[in-house]
Amino acid sequence: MAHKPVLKFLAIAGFLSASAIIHSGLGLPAYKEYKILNEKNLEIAGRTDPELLASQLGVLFAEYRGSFPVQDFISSALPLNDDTASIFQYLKNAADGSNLQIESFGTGKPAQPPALGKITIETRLKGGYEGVKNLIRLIENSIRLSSVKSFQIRKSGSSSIIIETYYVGGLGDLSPLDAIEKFKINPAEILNREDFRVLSQ
Amino acid sequence: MFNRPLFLSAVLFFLVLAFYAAFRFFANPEIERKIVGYEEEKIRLFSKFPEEEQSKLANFYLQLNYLNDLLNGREEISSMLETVEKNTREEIILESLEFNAETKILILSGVAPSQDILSRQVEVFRYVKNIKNVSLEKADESKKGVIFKIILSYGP
Repeated sequence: MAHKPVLKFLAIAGFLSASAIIHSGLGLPAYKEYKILNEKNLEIAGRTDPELLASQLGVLFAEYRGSFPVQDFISSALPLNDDTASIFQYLKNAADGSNLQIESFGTGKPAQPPALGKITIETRLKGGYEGVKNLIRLIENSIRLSSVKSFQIRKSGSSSIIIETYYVGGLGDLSPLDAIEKFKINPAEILNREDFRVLSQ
Repeated sequence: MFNRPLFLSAVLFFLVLAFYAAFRFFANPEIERKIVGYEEEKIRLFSKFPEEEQSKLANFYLQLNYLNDLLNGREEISSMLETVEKNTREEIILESLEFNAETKILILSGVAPSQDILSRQVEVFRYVKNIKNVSLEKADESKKGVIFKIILSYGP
């Protein structure tokens, strides 16, 4: 008979400690997960109202279909492949126009999509200061977006320029829908930029 | 003795267990199902558009996005060269110009007729807009004049 109260006390202690362990180890994490999921659910539900989404997608595609001339320009500024041959051709023409001679041309390793592909072009040139300055100006204003990363101009006539030019290497592992969601931007934000307009003229 | 506390602790235990089970086996899976449903609906609506156009549209956004970033980080180097030209005294002979866009440093090497003219030249560069710092690295007297090396650091 004397054992009964002890057993009851042990059972109470057992229930209380098990409750504390279950609550902190399982109950609370499950509740936290619920809160995260619920937030995500509310956020997605706001964006995924079928009617709204269908109309938004319709607008996106309509805008896209209506912007073919701009697309051509954008593809010239930032093409969908590295197209190093055309870069060489462009540089060759620009160098000829600046009375410079390309002594060597080499490109670096392109990046993996969907990251922005960067092509580094190292050129050694023969020609005067004015020619190199003109070439730099032509590169800066070329329809294909490029930037001069470094240059060395010598009075002796031997100069070098390192240029970086860019391309979009495709979606990679991203599905078109994921890519749109990740990279969605208002086209007007770019098309109305002053520097974009200057570039596209 | 202990009957009531035992009962209450047992009730608490089962309540805690029920709380856990409710989230783990009912609420969370239900929300996950809803989320998957939304995703499927989105994919279904998107797939109504021609497949070829889907990729083109995605690539278009990719291009626009990167174009925006590139335009934001664009710098005109030719105008910087013109500024140096305009602000270099006629007596100064520039032998070489080296520029690095990452460090925004332009190194000018050349010959000045005298230390006095070189010092005035350095002073001129100090007041050129966008030049953050001017440093004279070298000024060696020679038969040709003062051989110098000036480092111009361009600010943001």
